[in-house]
Amino acid sequence: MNANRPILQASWRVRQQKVGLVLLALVGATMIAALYLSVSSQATLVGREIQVLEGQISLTRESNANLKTELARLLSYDEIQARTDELGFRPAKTREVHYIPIPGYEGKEPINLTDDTARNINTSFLPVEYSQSLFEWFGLRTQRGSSQ
Amino acid sequence: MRKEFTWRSLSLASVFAVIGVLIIVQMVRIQTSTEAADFREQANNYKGWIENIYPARGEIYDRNGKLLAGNQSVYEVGVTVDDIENAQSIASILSTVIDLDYVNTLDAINNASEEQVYLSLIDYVSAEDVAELQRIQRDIEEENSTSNDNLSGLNYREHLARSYPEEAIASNVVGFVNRSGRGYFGIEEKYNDLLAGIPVQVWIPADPNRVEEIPQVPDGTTLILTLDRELQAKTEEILDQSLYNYGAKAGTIVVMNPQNGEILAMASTPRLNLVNFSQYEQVFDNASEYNRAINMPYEPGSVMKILTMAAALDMGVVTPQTGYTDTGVFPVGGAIIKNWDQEAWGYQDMTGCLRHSLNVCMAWIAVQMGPDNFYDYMSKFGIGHPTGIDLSGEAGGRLKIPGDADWYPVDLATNSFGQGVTATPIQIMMASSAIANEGKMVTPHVLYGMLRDGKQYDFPPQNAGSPISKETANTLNEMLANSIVGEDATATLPGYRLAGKTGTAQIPTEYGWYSTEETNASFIGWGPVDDPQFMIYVWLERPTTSIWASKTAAPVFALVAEESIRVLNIPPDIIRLQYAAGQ
Repeated sequence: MNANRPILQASWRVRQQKVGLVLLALVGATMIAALYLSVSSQATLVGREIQVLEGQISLTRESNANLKTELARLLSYDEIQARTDELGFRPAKTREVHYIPIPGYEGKEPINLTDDTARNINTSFLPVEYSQSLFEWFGLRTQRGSSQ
Repeated sequence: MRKEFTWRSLSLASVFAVIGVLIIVQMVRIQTSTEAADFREQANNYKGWIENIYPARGEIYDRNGKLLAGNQSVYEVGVTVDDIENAQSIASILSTVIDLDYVNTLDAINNASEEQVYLSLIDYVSAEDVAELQRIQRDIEEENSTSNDNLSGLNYREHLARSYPEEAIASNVVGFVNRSGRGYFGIEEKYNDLLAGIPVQVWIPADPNRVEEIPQVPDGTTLILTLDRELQAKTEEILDQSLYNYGAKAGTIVVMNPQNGEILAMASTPRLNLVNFSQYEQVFDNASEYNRAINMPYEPGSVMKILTMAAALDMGVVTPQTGYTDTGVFPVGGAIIKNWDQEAWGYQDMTGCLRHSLNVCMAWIAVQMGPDNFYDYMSKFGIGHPTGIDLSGEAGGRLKIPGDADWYPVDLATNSFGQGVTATPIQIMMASSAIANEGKMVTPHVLYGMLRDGKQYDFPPQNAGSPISKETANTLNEMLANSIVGEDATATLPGYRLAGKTGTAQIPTEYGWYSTEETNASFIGWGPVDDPQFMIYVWLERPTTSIWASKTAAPVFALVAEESIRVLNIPPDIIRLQYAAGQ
């Protein structure tokens, strides 16, 4: 036997390898395409959802403004006056009013319109994972670990 | 055979290659052609659109959180030109429901240009009217789905517009917003930039893949006023009734807290129903009538005497016990000053001079002070200058001083009792706040605070100087409280000690002399004297039942004082002082 004799693979084996490579590339490309399609379709759906939600926010704000105006109309001076007249009430004269001093009561203060409720809702509804950085999360976990 | 196949293959490949090349050539040609810019523009039109996002205009509340100005939905009604099937139906329904002119509407629709996609027919249509239109549209569609007699093409676009739930109440303070969104008069004009907010231009992509969050445009700043709606409404009622009772041409009443300058109520006639602000020209002859309390200077008459007396007491020229023998005439600068009743009142102390409102006595005091000192004090009181109140269009009035071309020595005497000098009610109130507030003058203001980004910022009161000492203020306060009991008893209120002064001023005519038949009746007063919580100014223009302020403006003051006491929950003096002593 000659040791230098080149050994060739069988031609069917070479063809099989080529076909395998082509199929591998095809499967890879298909997977990438499917992944891209999936991600982009999800992004599109989320994008559309954002558009719809933004529209809803706008409508809600308009509805809120309308309700405020409606409420103010129902509680307007003329409306209240008409209702008190219907019920047979009238403003008291100064000599008809009895005053009872209450220690510590300084009288009616002007309104404070600060919306504490809204601020609390915003902070309590948003999970901390959406606002903290990786380092903050790690620091928090470390603190918890050391305190336990 | 093999060659033949080769030839065919080459021919076919060449054909495809040529087609491919032609496609590429065509693409390059289109990209570089003269129409390329148009094509790009057309493509861009489908990419998305630019939208102007206007923030909702800030609301306006009274001090107790009652909404005075808010926002509500209104609609723009228009047509999509290509979708119109029956223009007559649309014009007919619009003319029936929202009173739009049938012929003009039909003309506008029929004459729409070919390129026009959308045609706006009317804006600011109420939600009720649009609901009615939509109901009719539905009914027609259900009944005659195949008929040509329909309203297809009719569109509604919703947007926010200003609303005024209290309509005419406080309209002279609030002002109004026109349809282009600009504020006119009062708070709406003064704080227009704050209320309007900053509009933002945003690109809205049509491709959902490119969608981005629309930036949150903050609403305009919400304002809280110092006004008390209940007191404002009551004050307006009293003013309207007083004009009727006394036959006055017009009037104004202002209620202010003299300790911090907060305006609690400011009524003026005539008033505009803000829901129909377009009737402005029918209601007012000129802009200065919108709010007489700040826009319209006039000769206030004897209410100025309290400033003359304050200056003289502060200088030490007189004391409450200083005596003056009133002979009924006082010559000055070549003219003769006389009293309101042309009579001589004999010996009077300074309280008597105020109680009987003696011009002669005041002229004597001003001469004793000298022009330099007198005008120096008047300037310190802010007479002749705007107060700086936060409402638009404040007038300054006119105080002639020595050196002015039209100042004469007699002016010193006439100015001492409020003639020959013009001031607005708010100026007199600011000056008088020094007397009620232990010498410290406060700047009147209407804005209590503002709400921005969920936080409320309240404004501290502003000191406008101390023209007189605390001792002078307290002394004059007592003198005015004592003087009101006699001559102006109609201005008193049982259980409450009040201080005040009437002012009956002659009105200068266009010919230069004063009218003998018409007057301006005024009253300024405050209470309770030991701890003033309200200061009231009444001005009735040309009352006809009586020319005297003691018969017209003084009783009006008492009525407003009673309402102020009720609304502000001020107990009678005896209860208040007992409680204070017990603490």
